[in-house]
Amino acid sequence: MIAAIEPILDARIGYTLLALFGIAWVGLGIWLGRHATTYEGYAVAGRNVGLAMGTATAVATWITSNTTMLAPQLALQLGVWGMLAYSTASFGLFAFAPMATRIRQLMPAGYTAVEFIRRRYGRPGGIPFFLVSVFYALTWLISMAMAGGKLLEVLSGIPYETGLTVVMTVCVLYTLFGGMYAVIGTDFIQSVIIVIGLVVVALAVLTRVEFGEVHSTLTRERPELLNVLFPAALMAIFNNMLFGFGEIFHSNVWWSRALAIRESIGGRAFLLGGVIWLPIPILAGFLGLAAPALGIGISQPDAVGPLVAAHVLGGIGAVVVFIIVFCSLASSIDSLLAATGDLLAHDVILPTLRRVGHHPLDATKRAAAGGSVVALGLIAWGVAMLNKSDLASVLFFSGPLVASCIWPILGGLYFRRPGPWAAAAAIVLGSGIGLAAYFTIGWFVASLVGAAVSGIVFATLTILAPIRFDFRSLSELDDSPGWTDPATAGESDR
Amino acid sequence: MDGSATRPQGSDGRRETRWLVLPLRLCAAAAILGCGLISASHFASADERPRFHSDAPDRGGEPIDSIGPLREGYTTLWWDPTPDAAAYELTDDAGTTIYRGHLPQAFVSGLSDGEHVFTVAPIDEDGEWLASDPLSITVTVEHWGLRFALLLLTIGAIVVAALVGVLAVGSWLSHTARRSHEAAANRSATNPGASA
Repeated sequence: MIAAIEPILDARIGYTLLALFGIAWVGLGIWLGRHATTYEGYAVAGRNVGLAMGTATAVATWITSNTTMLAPQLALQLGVWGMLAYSTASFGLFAFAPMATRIRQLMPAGYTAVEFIRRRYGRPGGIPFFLVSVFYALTWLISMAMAGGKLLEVLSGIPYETGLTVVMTVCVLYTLFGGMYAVIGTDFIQSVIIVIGLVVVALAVLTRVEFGEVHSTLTRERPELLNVLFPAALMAIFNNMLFGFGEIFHSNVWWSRALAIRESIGGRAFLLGGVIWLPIPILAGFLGLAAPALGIGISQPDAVGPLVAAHVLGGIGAVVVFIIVFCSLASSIDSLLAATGDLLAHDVILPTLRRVGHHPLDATKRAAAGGSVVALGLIAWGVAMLNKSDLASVLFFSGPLVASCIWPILGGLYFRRPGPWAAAAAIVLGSGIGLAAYFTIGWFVASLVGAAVSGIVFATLTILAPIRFDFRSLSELDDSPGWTDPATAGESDR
Repeated sequence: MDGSATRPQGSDGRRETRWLVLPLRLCAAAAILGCGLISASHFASADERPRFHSDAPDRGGEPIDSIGPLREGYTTLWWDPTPDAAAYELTDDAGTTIYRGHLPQAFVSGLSDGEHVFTVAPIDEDGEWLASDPLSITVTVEHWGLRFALLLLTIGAIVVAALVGVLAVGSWLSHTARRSHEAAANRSATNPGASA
């Protein structure tokens, strides 16, 4: 049995890799961003992203540092079911595939998810949705920034503050100069590196450990991990799936991609992205399950993935893990910065400017988006520098919040009858009761309860108070809601 | 005169003495109490054995002797570090080594229902135990009821099935509407007079 947590890589090698990849991403981002001459180019890459880039950006964005760190942890906590439950997050990409095509058709000139909800449901639905979106984006961004600092420290001994500052500076710089072009371009390269790296590590582990050995060790030392009827794991299966649905359906990270990918291939890009992503948590989760058989002592379950890789592959493994971690961090942070920056610019700054009588030109819009990226980067950096471990766990509170947005988005995209109060009540009640379940039962039921309550409320109020929405209004440049109350309009949509 | 002269002097002197004695006595009492407390805490800390904690001791984890009941079958065990330890060895009640590492914490998981006793011992660089009396903690596990879990599993399946159904119906409806809209547009393009 080996010692648990020591830096697995020499700090000098860590600094060298950090410098090399940092310079490469910034240089590449600026080079790719030369196309971003307009606001549309900057925010949604000219709405002309192809299949390969579209698929790669879906895969890279969805492989966060959580995928490589939390999947082994979930496997160690909830066993084989936990590993499979994590991989069900790919179903969100499958479900989003037809939605991406629909989004492009409905909003050919649209920019954000909040814009859709605001125009579909007006203020009653738009305000809670905006709050959920910003809360989720900020907590995800801060948790990624903190993960960056901590992981680089664990992997190579680079001080937390240094690692965090370098990761955030690199991501802010190339997102600021290159916009969505830079984000999607770097995502392509990052996804290739991550997938190849994980396959290499998984194959190396499989050659060193036999399934039989893993099975017998787990049976002896951690029997519940192999129990088909492990109660908490059974509850977690659909909870994780619905958390994934909620994250993808509501987040502007995914909407901005749907709006950036060409209409004819958006669906295929997300479908392919889901297929490529599906086995990755299983590979990463297997590292966690293999740790006891390899005689690796586990003190911190979220660090077991790198530890196993370094144990099996030695120094090369440590370098591979460092690169995978850096790429997965950058691919998620840049996407969050770009998408949330656009959200703040498009749904807060620009409407405020219009309200005070200023009609922003293209350069002003771009400046607003760039300024938002810098502001978000500074906020995330500042909060992450406090290094309060409780902050990262706040992200898990967002499970019921995002899951309660599933039905308003789905219903609002495809059906005319759901109204603003159905959407607002579904988000508020689903979030509230889901959070109550989080604290009374556990994290592994919160999203499930949030989605179930939200669905019942949404369906009930849609039946009781239907509206008649005109989907053509979403493609118009006028920002006013396109719905009428059947009671006042004198006709029903039944 | 002398007496009268000395009495008031004496009286003033006693008052002055009382004024000095009271604070001195308070100081002495405080000093004795302080020394007592210091020596008591010294002996107590010298006598206090390392303990398991509910959280990392530097994060304010309380000393504990048992944990549970755990509903998910996993937890992290923290214990007081031992100054001379090169590493720690944690074993379960079957004597299997669950963890050996230099951090005074270990993650245990996959525990089935019942009581599990874990024992930790500090070891030196040669792997020899440093303490003759290792620490033990009892972890009680009582998993969530299977009926409750299956109920939530069923609710989850229903929610996901409904979601997939709504998505499929919505996609089909929008596809059909788009096709008919395109067909109408084609008809009006090939036969402009009809639309007029």
